[in-house]
This record gives sequence, structure tokens and C-alpha cells, in this order.
Amino acid sequence: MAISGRFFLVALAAVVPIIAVPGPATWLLALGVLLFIVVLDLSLAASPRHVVVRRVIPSGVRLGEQTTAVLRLANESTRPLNAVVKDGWQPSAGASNALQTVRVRPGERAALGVALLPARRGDLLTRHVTIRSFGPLGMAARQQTIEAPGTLRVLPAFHSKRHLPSKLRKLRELDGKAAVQIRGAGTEFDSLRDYVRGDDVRSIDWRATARRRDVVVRTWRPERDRRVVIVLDTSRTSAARIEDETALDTGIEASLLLAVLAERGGDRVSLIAYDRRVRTQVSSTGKGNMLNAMVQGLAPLEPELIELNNQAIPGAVRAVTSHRSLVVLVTSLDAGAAEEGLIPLVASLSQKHVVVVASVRDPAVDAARRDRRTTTLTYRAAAAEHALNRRAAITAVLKQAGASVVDAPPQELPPQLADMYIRLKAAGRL
Amino acid sequence: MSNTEQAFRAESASPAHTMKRWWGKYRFWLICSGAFITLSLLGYFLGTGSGQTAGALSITNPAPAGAQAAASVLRTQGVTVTAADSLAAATAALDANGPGTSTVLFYDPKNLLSSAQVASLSLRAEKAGAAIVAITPAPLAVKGLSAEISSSGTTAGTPTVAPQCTQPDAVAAGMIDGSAGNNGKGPLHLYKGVQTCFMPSGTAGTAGGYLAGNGTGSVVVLGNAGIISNQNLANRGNAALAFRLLGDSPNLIWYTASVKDIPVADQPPTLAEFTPEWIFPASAWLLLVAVLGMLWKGRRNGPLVAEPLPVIVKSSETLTGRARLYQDARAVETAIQTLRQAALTRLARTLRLGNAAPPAAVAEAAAAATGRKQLDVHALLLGAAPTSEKDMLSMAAELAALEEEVAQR
Repeated sequence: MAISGRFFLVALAAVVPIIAVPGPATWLLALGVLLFIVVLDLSLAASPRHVVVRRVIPSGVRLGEQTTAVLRLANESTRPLNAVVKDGWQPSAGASNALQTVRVRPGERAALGVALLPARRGDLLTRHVTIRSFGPLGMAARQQTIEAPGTLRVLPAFHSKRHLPSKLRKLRELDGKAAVQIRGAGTEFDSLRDYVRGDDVRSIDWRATARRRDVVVRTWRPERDRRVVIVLDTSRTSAARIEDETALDTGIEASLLLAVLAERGGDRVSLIAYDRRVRTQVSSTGKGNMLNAMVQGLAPLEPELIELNNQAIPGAVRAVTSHRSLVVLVTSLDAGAAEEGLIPLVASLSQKHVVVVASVRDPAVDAARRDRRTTTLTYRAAAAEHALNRRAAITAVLKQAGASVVDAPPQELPPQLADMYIRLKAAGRL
Repeated sequence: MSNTEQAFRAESASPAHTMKRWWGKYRFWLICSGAFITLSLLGYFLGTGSGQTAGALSITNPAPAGAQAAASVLRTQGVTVTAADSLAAATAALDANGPGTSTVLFYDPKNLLSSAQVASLSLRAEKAGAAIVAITPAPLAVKGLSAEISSSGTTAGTPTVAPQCTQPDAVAAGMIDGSAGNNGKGPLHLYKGVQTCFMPSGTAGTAGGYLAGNGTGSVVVLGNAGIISNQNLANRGNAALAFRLLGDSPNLIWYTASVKDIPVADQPPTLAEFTPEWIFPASAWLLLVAVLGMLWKGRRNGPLVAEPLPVIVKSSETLTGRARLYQDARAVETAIQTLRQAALTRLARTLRLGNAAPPAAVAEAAAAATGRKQLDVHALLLGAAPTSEKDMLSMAAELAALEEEVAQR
């Protein structure tokens, strides 16, 4: 049960007769009138127990985009429903009009659109719908909460999509390009064409030239159908917030850009989100839209407060593909975690695969290194130098073990990782 | 996808189930409020339920200043003790008891009765043939009781006093307490009458005594209220004096003057008489309206919705921690070594000397590149570590300046 502001005003107005005719009789009469109003209105209100709720929730929305979840109400009672309806979305769903007024005649239906502007990635929940049904006087209401769970999946924002056109152009430039320096085993023969000035003389196909009586060069195209395995670390180190987002979010952005790029480049992409068990696994070998499958799989990921199980990662990669592939480890280069597990992991992986380690670099550390205005800040600068030194040492060891390292601030990591992929592809190292 | 056209309805719970859920939800507060109410009621009834009062010389007060002891002893001896708290009640009791069967104990510690009222009491008692025992009456009241008795001031008291007179009750009592009346508080009154007894030593014959009576013995004034209090009743001859004075006749009217004796016109007007008639009902109504307002605004549209928050840790936490450790330990040397090492590494890279270049060579190259003195640069990069934080600060700034200079070259 609930009362309205109108009822409150009526009760307030009753003070006038009480002042005009003081006495217990007036007082009790006023109280009686109020009670009568409440009982009358409650008994004439449509029962919210006879309202049936149905939900229509969009299958997914990108973070930062607006969407509408529809709430359908069917009034199965014999009285007109005059209600205030509250949809119980969690706060980060950003329901701006979760509280709505609705009138439904007996036996009819109504649809309410709840505008949602999610503030967080992941599965956002609504658990219930609360119906406050007012009587014809609008004074008192019967209230009922109906359990009506619903889930809205908020997909990663994929801001790094804006880098995609330029990276794709770079990738296309590889296509049909004469392989100038590298004639290694990795590149595939594409076609023959006439020699133009500037082509590498080493790529002249002498046999074809003899046939054509004109100088002909071989062209190469980058290999296709190579394997790219992205291993996304969701362990405790991914919970670190760098600038505006967690390391995991940056990792997701970088993985998405790389996956889309590699798929357009004709490679087969697999993604594993891993800490101590596989959180999400997506492969482009299956049919359907790879990007959609990936964002759906990545959306509910959250950093887990557990240590990464480094020993199990080679097994997880082997489960995805038995071929030689490009393994991209999106993880953290922080001292401690890296020293214990990452270095042996990279050493063992690089025996069979091409390994890239991608890590988010905190620009705050670089800023702290330079700021030496006070004693406290100088100590801080020393601590920053220490951290950077350790990071550089780990990077050096990883490079020695045969891996490439991409260590960049959050905004830079996705494009730099894409550049690394293009570079490796151009070099025929895949 | 996911057009979840599933229909949700309110679950049809039985009243018993609803009650059970309510109990589960509000159990703590229900038990707390129940315990609070029980304890308050218990405290109230324990405090007042046994009919005890807290007034001085009240016959229902078992405290040291009360007089329950004297009253109950008298009752066991067959005296009917009746408490009266107003003049009207006392005279009504006098009339009810019939002539010559009553003793009136008159006690007016706050001096509420006017002398006319005291005189009327005296008159009515005389008519009914009742004796009056007045405990510490004020000077004017004494006059009203009997013209033969007068007040003769107060005294600080002595430990004991002897009767020093022929009044039979006083003689029978012998020595009584000469002090510690009212538990040592309040004055001890002295009176002079036809018979004056218990004169404190040193004031013999002139100043009056604790006990004074008129010629017929129908009015007796007692200047020491402590004699009949619970605390002192058992001391010396106190009990004998009290019981002989009070237990003389079959009925004892224990009259303690109270606010009821003040004439209505003399009472100050209450606040209610100044305020208009509608104030109380209107304010009570507004109170009710305020509660309604709280119910209106305080009722939530459904239960609170929780937000499951993911774990997010600020990335530079460890950096800040290490910096604080350095500072707390005043690790000047460690800090400057770290800064120097980092500067040397970067200088070596900028000057293209390779990672393995010896520090001295880097310092030399840096000096050559900037045109600074070899010795200065060497001291800055490889010299003795500073000892104070101030030196460290300037050295750190110099290192940064050197790096910048080399980089700009």
C-alpha cells in the first residue's frame, strides 16, 4: 500500500476545519473521512496481482549506445489500471525513465519503453517490476512487486574500430606487393607481372622472362590461412585501472581490433580468455559472424582476483590448434607476476609458435618519473624509475626468448598491436 | 533474438507464507522493539507498582527519609492510620471517625498552608476532640494551631537531649536525638509553650525546646522531624516518644500538606489557559500529517536494486607504496642510485653507446656532448651519494636537466 501527494494535501487541508471548530469531534471526524477515502480508493483500485508482465529486451547493445527495453503489461483484472510502474534495472543500466505512469483498461495491454544508456560492459540485470495501482481518486494505491528477471548484454565499445580502415589499407598494400627483401619460405607466389623500374632485380623470374622476351617479375602475396591465437589474461593483474579503464578493457579493445584485422587478412583467429580456466573461447573456424561471436563472448568478462595459471596456457593453445601459429599474449608486464610465470611460458611457447606479448603501459609512471619538484615527488620518481627498469629488464628477457613485445599506453595499444601483426605478416613470419 | 515473451505474474502466496516472510525479514527489529517495550513496562511497574512513594515522612516511603516504619508499627498496635494529602480530606476523615477518637499528624514541610487554613484545622480538631501533633510547623502556623505555643527559632542541634519537663510522654521517652533530624539537613525548630521539653543544652529555660504543648495537651508541636523517620526511629527514646504521641487514640490521620491545599486562584495560570483552544488539536493533526508525509515520500517503488561492482585496482598503487617506503626510510642513497642508473641507461641510448657501455664512458660522452666540465658530469653521475634530502632533490633536478640537454643536442 502507498499514499499519494494528493492524499497528503487533503490531510493538510483538513487542518482548516479543525482550527475553525476545535474539539475532539472535528478531529475524529477528519480522521474518519481520511480513513474512508483510503479504504474506498484501495477497494476500487485494480489489483496489481492481476497484471501480467512480459519483457522484450534487445539481444545486445554496444557500450555507449542507447537502447530501449520494452515492458508489456496486460491488465487481467476487471477494473481500469491506473498505475505507476517501476522497472528494477540496476543503476549502471542507466534507465532514465524507469518510473512511468500508465493507464490500462480492463482486459487490455500496454507497452512501456524504458530507455537504457548502459554505463558498464557486461550482463546488466533487472530483477523485478513494481506496480503501484492507484484507485479512481488517486489518493491511495496498492503496490505489488512482481519478480520478472531480465538481462541486457552490453558489448564492448570497440572504440579501436576507428583504426580499422587505415590498418586494413596497410594490409591490402601487402597484397600483390613484390616481395622485396624477403624471399623466405613463408611468402606465397601470387602472379607474374611486367618489370617496372624500382622492382628488386632479385625477384625477376628468368624463366618467364625468357618465354615472354620481356622482363617479368614474380610477385608475392602474404600467406593466408595462418593461425592467430589471442590469449587474453583475465587474472588479477587485469583488474588494474590505467587511465580510464581496466587493463582488461584495453586488452579487449586490442584483441577485437587484431581479430577483425587478421580475419580480413585471411587468417584464422581464435581467442581464449584465461586465468585458471577458460572464461571464453571463440574461433573463426566456425560459421557466422566472427566479430559478433567475439563481442558476445567478451562482454561478460570481468577481472578475477586469482593468479594466472601459466603452466596451463600451452595446453589451452594446443587445444585450439596444433599448427604453428601467432600467439598473442595480452597480459601484464608487472614485475613479480611476469618473472614467475610469463618468462618460462614465453620461452616454451616460442619454441613452436611466434609469440607477441602485449601489455598496457601506465602513462602515470612515465609522468611520475619526470616530476622531481619536491622531495616526496623525487622519491616517487625514483620508485617509478625502479618500476620502469624492472619492466625494461623483463622486456629484454622476453625479446631474448624470441618474443615480440608491444608495451603501450591504453590508447596506443590496439593500433600498435595491429601494426605488429602487419609487420610480422609482411615479414612472412606467420 | 531473446524476445523473452515469458509472462511474469505476482506469485500467489498464502497469508501464512507472507507472514513467515515478514517475520524472516523484520525479525531483528520486532524482537528488539518487543524487548524494549517489555523492559520499559517492567521498569515502570517495579518503580511504582508496589505503592511506594518518595515523599519525606510519607507512610508509604520505605526510604530513610520516609515514615513507613512508624505507620506500620502503629497499625500492628491496632491504630488505624489514614493518609490525607489535603485539608479537606483530613477534616473529612476527622468527621468520619467520630468525636474523641482521632489524632491528627500535621506535616507541612513546604509551608503551603495559610495561617487561616491552619487555624481552621485546629478549630475542627478541637471540635472533634482530636489531638494535633504538628511536625516542624512554621512560626505563623504555630500561632494558628494554638495561641499558647510560639516558635522560638532554630538550632544547630546537639547529639542528644533530655526531657527536662514533666510532660508524661517526654518523661517516658527519656533521652531522644537532639540532631540528625531530616538526615542532618534542614533546621531543627524550637518552640515554647505551656509545656516545653527537650531543650538543647546551653539554651535551657530561655530558647525553647523540640517539644512544646498547650495547656490541655491537645496540641503538641515537635521540632525534629527526624524522630519519626525510618532512619532514626529506632534510636534512643525516639520510638517511645513517637508512638506515645501518635498512638494515643484508635485513629491516626496522617495529614501531609500538598499542592491541593493551595486555593485555585493562587495557582499561576497554566500555559493551556494562555493558548487558543485550537492549538492542541491543530498541532496534533499536523503531527499526524507529518507522519503521512513521511509515508508518502518514504514509500519506495519496490525493493532496492544492488549494483554488482567489479574489482578495480588503481594501477600505480605499488609505485606509490614503494615511494612512501623510500621516504619513510629516508633512503636517499637508494633513490639517487636508481635515478642515476636510469639516467645513465637513457644517456647511453641517446648517445648511441650501446647497453654495455661502461658508466665512466657515458659520463665522458655526456660531458663532451654538452660542453660541461668532465669532473662535474662525472661527479653528478658517478660521484658520492648525497647525504641529505635537500642535496638529493637538487641532484635529481640536475640529472633531469643533463638528460634534457643531451637529448636536445
